[in-house]
Amino acid sequence: MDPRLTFNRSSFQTTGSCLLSGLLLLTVALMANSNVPGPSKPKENAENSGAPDVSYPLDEFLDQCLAEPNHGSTAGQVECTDQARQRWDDEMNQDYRRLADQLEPKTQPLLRDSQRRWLRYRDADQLLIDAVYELTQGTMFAPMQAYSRLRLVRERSLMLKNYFNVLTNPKARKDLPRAGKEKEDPENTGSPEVDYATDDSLDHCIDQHETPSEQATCVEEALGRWDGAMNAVYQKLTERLPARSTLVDAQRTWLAFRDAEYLLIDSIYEVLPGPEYQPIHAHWRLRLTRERALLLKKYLALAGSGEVTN
Amino acid sequence: MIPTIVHPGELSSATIRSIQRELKEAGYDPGPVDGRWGARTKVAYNSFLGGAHRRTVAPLPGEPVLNTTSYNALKPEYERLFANCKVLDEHLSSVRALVNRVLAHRPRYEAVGKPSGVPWWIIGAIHAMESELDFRTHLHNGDPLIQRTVQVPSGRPTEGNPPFTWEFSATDALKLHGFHVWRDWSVAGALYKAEEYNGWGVRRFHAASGPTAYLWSHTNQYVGGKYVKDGIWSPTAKSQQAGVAAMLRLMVDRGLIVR
Repeated sequence: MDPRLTFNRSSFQTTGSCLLSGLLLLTVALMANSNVPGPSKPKENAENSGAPDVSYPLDEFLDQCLAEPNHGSTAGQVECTDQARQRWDDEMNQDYRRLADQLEPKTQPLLRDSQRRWLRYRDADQLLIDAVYELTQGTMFAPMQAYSRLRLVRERSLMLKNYFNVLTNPKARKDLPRAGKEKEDPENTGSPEVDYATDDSLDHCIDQHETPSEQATCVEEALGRWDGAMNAVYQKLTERLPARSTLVDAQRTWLAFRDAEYLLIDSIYEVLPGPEYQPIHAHWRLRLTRERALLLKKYLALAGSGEVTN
Repeated sequence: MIPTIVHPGELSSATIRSIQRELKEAGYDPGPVDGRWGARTKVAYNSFLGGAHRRTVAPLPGEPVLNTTSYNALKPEYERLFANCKVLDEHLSSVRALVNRVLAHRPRYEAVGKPSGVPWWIIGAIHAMESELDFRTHLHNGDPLIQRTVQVPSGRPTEGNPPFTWEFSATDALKLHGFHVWRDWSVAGALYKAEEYNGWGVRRFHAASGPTAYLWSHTNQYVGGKYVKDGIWSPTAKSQQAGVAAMLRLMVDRGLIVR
């Protein structure tokens, strides 16, 4: 098979997207989740609850851990990140079970299949992460490598939360994510193909259109741009990465996961009442591709972060 | 290297003799090389600080951090920054305590460094940066010794079998970074190797943020800037960890580093 994979979207193209930064996504997810027992309650609710065993958002846990003076070393930062990843992993499992309980019987096998494919994708992408970081030089990259593993799990947890929130919280459908302002380091992009103008233009498009159908079209158009960006970055990475087969394997497993996730997304969408869910349905699709494009962009930047030659 | 700040009462006679020899080499007359901080040594030392020394190593106002990895290009920068490097008062006690902890393990660092001529003090400083002096971890990156390294550089040491001794693994780490063939173990040379150990990414992408945290945190030379997570750079975040130069500053002042 030709290793230069293509990423044409399948027939599920009614919409598809998500433009948020991960941080904003978390915030939205947590806000929508405020009345639901489960992991990662927002801090204000946790404080008001008075319960001694409340769990705060895991991003905050990581930030606090990293800021502790005894975690300043490379080992300390990796330890914090690994702890946070383990917690995200536990949380993702809770998210999975909670969502499964909420789904109709006919949809539950789709969730199981998608999750299995996600696990395969995660394993393959961890190998890719290791191959990418092998091209870096210096211990400054060790905590970043640990975070790259965390990022996969964190994103999966947030997606599962988002499905659950939309299914259970009538207000969630109106909270169409907006472009996050906490963008990645512009000095270290490594690929002009991926930029955040797509997010901004999507925001603008949504502001200009009121009906769900029109807004879903906005998202669909943005998905097309992210899809193109992902393809472009992938091609560049195939040229730069010595471990090309690792990249190809990871991308194939991602495509398999994405296709399975589309089936899950559509099945969830079927039970949602009313056309106002069209934009968020489209967002779920876009979110998958956007995150993949951003990950590949990061890998591409890292693959070029070796020692500077004079 | 002649320290720029000395407390004569704390200097050993061997250190004073070393300074006196260097003053002579630099063209000053400290009197006989007798290990005593006498009047002539004091005058020669003060002349040194106010003379050629200051002209050659005083920092230029607003001098940018260079975006290069060439030692020849960077050496003057390290010398200038270190000559004017001072541990901030609020961190002085913690850096002192850290240096004392490094000093307590000096024999282990010497055992690893001596065969290849690597000074014990730079091994100790890097050990502090990578794992806060935890001898259960690889010097490469702080990963546990019970297995080969997982984070980059991964799969180290390539020889032997886990669990590794700290000394075996540390020797591998030093070789991996070319410490065994490096010969300029002046403070500037050591700072260069330490920055290389941590990686050139900060200098390459964020030179505008000034001297890097890995070297200069807790000193007057560090203005801020660090990677917070996931490769996201924050120009305002400050490292909570003492940098290599902060440790070396106190070591030099205590006469622990003698060229």
